[in-house]
Amino acid sequence: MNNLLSKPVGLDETIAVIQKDLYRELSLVWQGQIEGYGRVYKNPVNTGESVPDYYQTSKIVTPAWYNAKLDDYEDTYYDDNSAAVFCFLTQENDSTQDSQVYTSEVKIAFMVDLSKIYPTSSERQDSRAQRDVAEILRNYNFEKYNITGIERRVDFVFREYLTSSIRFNDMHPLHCFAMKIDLEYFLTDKC
Amino acid sequence: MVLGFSEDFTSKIVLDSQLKGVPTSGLYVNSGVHPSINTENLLDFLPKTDLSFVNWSATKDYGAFLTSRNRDDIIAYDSKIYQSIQGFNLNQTPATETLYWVETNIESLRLKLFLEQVKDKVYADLALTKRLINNQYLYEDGDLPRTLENDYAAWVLEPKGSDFVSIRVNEISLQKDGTTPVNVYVINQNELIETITLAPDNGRLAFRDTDITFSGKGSFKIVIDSTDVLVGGATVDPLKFDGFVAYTASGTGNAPETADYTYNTFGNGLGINVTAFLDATNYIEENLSELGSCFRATFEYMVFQMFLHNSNNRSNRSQRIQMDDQLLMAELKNLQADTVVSRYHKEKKRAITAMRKTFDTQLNDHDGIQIKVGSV
Repeated sequence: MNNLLSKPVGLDETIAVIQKDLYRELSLVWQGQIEGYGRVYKNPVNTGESVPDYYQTSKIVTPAWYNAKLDDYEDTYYDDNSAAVFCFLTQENDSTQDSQVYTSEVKIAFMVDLSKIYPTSSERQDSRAQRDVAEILRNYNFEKYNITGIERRVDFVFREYLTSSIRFNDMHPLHCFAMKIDLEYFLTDKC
Repeated sequence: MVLGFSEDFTSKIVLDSQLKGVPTSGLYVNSGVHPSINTENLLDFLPKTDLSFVNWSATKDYGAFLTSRNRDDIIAYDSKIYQSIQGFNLNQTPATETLYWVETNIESLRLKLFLEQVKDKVYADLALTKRLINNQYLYEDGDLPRTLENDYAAWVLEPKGSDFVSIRVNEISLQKDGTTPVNVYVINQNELIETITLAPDNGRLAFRDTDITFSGKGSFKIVIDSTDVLVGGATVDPLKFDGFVAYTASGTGNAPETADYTYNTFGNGLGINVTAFLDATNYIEENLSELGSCFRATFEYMVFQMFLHNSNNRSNRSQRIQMDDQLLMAELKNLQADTVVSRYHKEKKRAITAMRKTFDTQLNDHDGIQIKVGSV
């Protein structure tokens, strides 16, 4: 299921366009159910665990999206009822040169079960999953962002989040990776 | 089903009619338990495997799945999943023969199998499935030729004082000259259950493996047509076995199942190897008023064990929320507070006490040492 905002604005609007393209095209090349999420929030969770240095807050965070139907937040980590989950991780500081076009460093994080998305292959096709995503990103709306890199392993991709509670070892058939993009968006169309 | 599963509106999955039906015991295992135990949470911790089932075959004899627990007794028919609910299920169309099949789905099957695991734990906790006799041989190595009188000769096996005893015949032999096979009839309450052929081994004791299990009401007979056999001079003491009575008999009539049998105490050439055990299934289902709370507490306990250990290696949102190790450990370790584990032990103790009063006292498990702790 692609969990889209009905009236996205600004950064969310640009992300929603990419989210639609990704979901539609990945559904053609990957088997199984895909869960797509837009921009997720760093939501605090009181765990009593020590605070990581890289995220100075009194609390630990999980990536969560706001499910308006349930009137509640839900985390967007991997769900083994699906074959793949992806979401957009954003930073808190976006830059602009002209107060019109803003640039945001965004990571599109993927958590997939390779045996489900490629059921006919017994080998670990992690690079194939990364290639499929990269090709889609290159083919659609490429003028709105630059691909700046790729990250792998769940603890590295989600290093700003609490990952100790996730039962997701980056071993076959599971795989986590992220495409890093610099994304441009408008908050307003007034010049 | 004897035990029910209450709708709690936490999942979009529609459970099958067997789970949704009103339980004959009036007991819903998932109601009145810890609030974390709901359908969605359970399904997010139970094994999640993508399964496909073979298509139904009119020529295949299916068994009752919850008894056999064999995946072959679940089939695909008309793009739906059906579970066999009766044994000897041959050529019964799944979509129409509702006495033999129930339409189901994989989620319902996962829940039902978990309930069966709970049942098994209750059996084990209460030591209700107990072996009374293990591989007891009933035979005499005879060398006296004898022509059996009347039309039929039999071993008669009767559960002693309880309907909860099952008797399994593991091996059978016939001491008789020659090698010409003879028919052996298995009879219960004047009904022929099974006929097997048994070849003698030129007068030697030669046992052949069988898999005949008696359980239920009435005596069971293993019968042969009267013939020339080899016997010994010993007499049969019918009361010397725990859990069942065994004696020999001879019958007069036109058919083994309708013949009139006269009991005797001498050998007839037939030898059997018998295992007798308490079969708790009937007992539990007939005494759920006493054991129902124990079931529910065991269910609650096992669910929390599953939450703590994530034994099926699930990874999803419900799993992450429920797997709070500290809270789960408290529920599973603290015997002082009103926790899952304390409720489990309390109900287990109550069930054992009730069972001691009602279960067949002759067959109770008196093994082991009981230590009572008093004040010092």
